[in-house]
Amino acid sequence: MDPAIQSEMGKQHKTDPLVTLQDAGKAFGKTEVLRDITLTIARGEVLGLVGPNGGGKSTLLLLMAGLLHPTAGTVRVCGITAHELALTSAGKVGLVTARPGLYPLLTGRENLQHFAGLFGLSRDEIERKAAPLLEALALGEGLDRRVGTWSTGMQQKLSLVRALLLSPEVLLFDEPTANLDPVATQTLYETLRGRADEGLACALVTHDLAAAESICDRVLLLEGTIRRELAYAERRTPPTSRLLEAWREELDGP
Amino acid sequence: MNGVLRIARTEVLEHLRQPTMLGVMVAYYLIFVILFGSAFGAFAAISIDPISMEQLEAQLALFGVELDAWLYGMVTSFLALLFTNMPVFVALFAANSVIHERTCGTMPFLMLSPLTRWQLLAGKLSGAMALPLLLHLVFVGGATLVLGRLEVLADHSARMGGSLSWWIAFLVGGPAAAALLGTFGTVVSALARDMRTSLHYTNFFVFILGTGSGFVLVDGITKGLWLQLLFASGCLVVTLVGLTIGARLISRDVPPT
Repeated sequence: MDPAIQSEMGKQHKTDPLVTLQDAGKAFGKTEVLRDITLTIARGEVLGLVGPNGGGKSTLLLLMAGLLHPTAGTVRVCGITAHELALTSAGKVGLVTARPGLYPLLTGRENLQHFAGLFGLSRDEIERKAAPLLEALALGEGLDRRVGTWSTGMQQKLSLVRALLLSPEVLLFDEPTANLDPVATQTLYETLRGRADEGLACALVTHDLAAAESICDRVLLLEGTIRRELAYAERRTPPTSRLLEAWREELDGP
Repeated sequence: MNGVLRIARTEVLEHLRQPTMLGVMVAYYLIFVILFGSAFGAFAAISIDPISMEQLEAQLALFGVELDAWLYGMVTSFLALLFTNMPVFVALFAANSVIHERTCGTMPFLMLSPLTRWQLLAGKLSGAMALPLLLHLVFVGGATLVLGRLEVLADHSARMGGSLSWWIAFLVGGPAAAALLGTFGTVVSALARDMRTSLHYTNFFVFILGTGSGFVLVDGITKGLWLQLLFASGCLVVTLVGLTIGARLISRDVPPT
C-alpha cells in the first residue's frame, strides 16, 4: 500500500466518522443520479438508505465502496477517498449486494478461496477465519457442493461470509434480503446489527421500512438527494413475530 | 502474479465443470485428424501400386492438378487447419471471459480486491489459453509427428515435424498467435455490455485472423527460422500492447446492477 495513504489511514481517530460524503454527486453521462449528498457514518452506526427505485441508493453505496467515482464533491472512507481505498484494496470495505456475486460452477469453499486468495490469504488462513463465520451462519454443510445448487439464502450467507472474512471496518449492504426467506433475512439483519455493535460502520439499502426502522440508527429517505433524515435513539432488535418464531421452530429446527 | 494465476485457475476450473466447449474442441481436432489421416493413409496404400498411382495422376490431371501440387496442398491444408484451431478456440473462450464476471455479478468483488485491471485481463487470457494449448500440444503435435513418418510424405517432412522451424511454429508461433486473438477476445469481452455483443465482435475477426495466422505459420515453416521467430515476437508484442491498452480502456467504475 502507498505509505502516504497508509499514514493517512493511521491518523484516523477512533471517534471520527469512518465514512464521510461532502456535497457528493454522481452523473452517468448527462443523467444526474445523485446530487448534494452530505453524510457521515460513525463506528457502531447503521445508516439506512430507503427510497423509490432509481432514487440512487445503490449508486450511493457503490460510491462509498469506491467502485464509482463521484462526479462532484468527495467521498472519504477510513480517512482517504473511497476510490483510493478501493485501489489500495486494503479489504476495509465489505460489500453484500442483492445478487450474491458467486461462481455457480464452483463450490462454496472454492468461491471463498478464490476471493480471499486474491487478498493474499493462504488456504489455511481462509479456513481458520471462515470457520466461525460459517458456523454462525449454519453454512458448514454443503460447503463442498457447487454454489449453483444452493438456495438463494445460502448463497447470500456465503456472500456475507466473504464480506466479513477480511475483517472490514465498513460494511455495505445493498438490498441483501431480496428473494430471501424470513429466517435468512432475520439472520442477515442480526449479523449486520451485531457487527455494527462491535464497532463497524454499516450502511443498509433496503425497501423493508420496518426492518430499516428497527435496525438502523439513522435512516435517509433518498430520491436523487437526501429528502429527509430520521434518527432513532433507542437501540432495537430486528423485527420478529410469532409467525417467524414458529417458522424457526418448525422449519429450521430448535 | 498471484492474482493472474488465481483468475486463470478459476477460469479453467469453470471450463472443466462445464465441458461442452472442451468436447467441441476435441471433436474438431478428431475430425481433422481422422479426415486427413485417412486421406494420407489411403494415399500411402495407393502409392505402392504403380497402376493405381497412374490412375490417381490421371484423375488429378482432369482438374489440371499435378500429383506433387495436390500433395503439397493437402499437407498445407492439414497443417493450417490444425494450427488455426487453437487461436479460434482461445478467442471464443476469451470472448466469454470478463463478461462472464459481469453476468455472475462477481465484478464488483474483483474490483474491491488487489487485482489490477491488467492482471484481470492477463488472468482471463491465461485461463482461456490453458485448455486449447493442451489440446494443441496433444493433437497437433501427435498427429503431425505420427503422419510425418509416412514414406509418401517424405518430401514434406520439414513441414511435418522434421525441422526446427516447425517446432518453433508449433511451440511458440501457434501459442503466440492464439495469445494475440485471445487478447482481442478478452478486451472485447471486457468492454462489451452483454455476452451477445461480445461474441458478435469476436466472431467478426476470429475466423479471418485465426485462419490467416494458421496459413502464415504453415507457409512460414519453409521460409526460415527467423521469419517464424519474427512472427511469434510480433504476436507477443501486440498481445502485451493489447492487454495494456485494454486495461486502460476498462473503467474501474462498476455501474449498479
